[in-house]
Amino acid sequence: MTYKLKCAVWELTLKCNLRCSHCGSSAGIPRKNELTTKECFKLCEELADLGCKDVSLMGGEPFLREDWFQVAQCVNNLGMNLNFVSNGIVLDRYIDKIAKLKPKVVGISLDGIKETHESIRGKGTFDKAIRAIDLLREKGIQTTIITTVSKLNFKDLPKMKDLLFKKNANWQIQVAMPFGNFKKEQILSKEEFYSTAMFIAKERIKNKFEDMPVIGAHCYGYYSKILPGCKWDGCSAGTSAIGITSDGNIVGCLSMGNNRFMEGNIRNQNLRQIWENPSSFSYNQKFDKTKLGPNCKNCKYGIKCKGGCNSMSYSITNQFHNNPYCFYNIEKNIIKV
Amino acid sequence: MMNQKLKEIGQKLDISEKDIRSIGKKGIARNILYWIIGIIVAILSFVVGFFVGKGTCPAEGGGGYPFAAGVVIPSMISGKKKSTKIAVLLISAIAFLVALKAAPVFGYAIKYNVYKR
Repeated sequence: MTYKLKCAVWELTLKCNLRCSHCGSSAGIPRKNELTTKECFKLCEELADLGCKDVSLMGGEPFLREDWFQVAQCVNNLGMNLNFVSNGIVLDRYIDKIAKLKPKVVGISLDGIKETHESIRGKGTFDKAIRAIDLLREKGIQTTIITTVSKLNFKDLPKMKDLLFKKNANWQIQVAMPFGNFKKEQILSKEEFYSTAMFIAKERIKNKFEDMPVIGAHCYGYYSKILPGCKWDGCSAGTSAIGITSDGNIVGCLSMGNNRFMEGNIRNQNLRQIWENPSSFSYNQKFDKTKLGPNCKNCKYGIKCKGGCNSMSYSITNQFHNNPYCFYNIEKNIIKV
Repeated sequence: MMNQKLKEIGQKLDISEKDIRSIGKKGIARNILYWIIGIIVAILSFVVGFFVGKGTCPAEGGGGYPFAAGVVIPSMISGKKKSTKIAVLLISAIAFLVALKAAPVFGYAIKYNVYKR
């Protein structure tokens, strides 16, 4: 079976102006040998050559890399959709340049009301993030607010809703996973996880999508008997999506930070060679039911769902295709429906 | 009677019994909606296959499904009877609207990436 690359999530630099307590990348200092501008341009060409449609530039903080604009322009010039993910801190300096690039979407991280957000991200960060969201909306750029939930902030969701209602921005809620800076004891319990999913479902039912376009990310699912809109065809890492680290390593998903899952480096091989190598991304490209872990092997949706979000599965159980944070599993074993 | 555990979990984020009931109803409605979409797409695929003699296959991994069917509509209606054109356009319009109504709630943004409409 041939797989078509659709989406690349590219850590443009690991340099970051924040030291967030839940950062999965432990971002801050740039990697030792980050790609040069020339290497970035070559990588853009290789992505376009593979037919990639969508490139998301993130970090660390992507706007801290001096040549971010040239790289973004190169993505644009090659006809691929351009997206950014940022903490919003320096975005005001570059808003005109960003608008000129016409990105498809810009994601801004917001992890709670002011007090909580700043306890995670540092003093003064909340107002800057809100300012960044407002600036993007003023420029008519599609904006998605990304909230990473853990025990530290999940109780803030109802208050955040009041803040974001009719803000004309999407709201993406995702679960913090125990890697990088994030401590295992701060991960949501399964019940808390399900409660946040109920919150998402409730807000979607109560409001018009335009007023409150809230969605759960890949780590939310799968095949619920109660919650609506849980269709899921398995993790896309290495089957339609890749992650690129700032020093050129290729992984299925950037949240699989472990060296074990690096399929190659674009300094040694071109991207097509890595993508088309039959042994690359084998956990997903060669998936079969025997690969399902103990949490999923007896599940009737196992084959279709492939064990949920793999980075979540690995970070919690040390194996793929075994994600215990699953609506179906929780409903069956905890809620008993 | 409401499942006590579900009620208890909902209370963590002030989700009332009434909210839980409407979530449940919406879940059932969605499942029915998927069946309807499936049937409409099946009919549409049959019509496409019958009149054009070639099919279309949804993008890998379900991306764009069931919108992929729309790609072949313009080519298939040219030179056909008026009634055929109307039927095909009507079916595709219904399929499109139903699919739009079923906008994603969970699992449509890769973690570390960003959701867009």
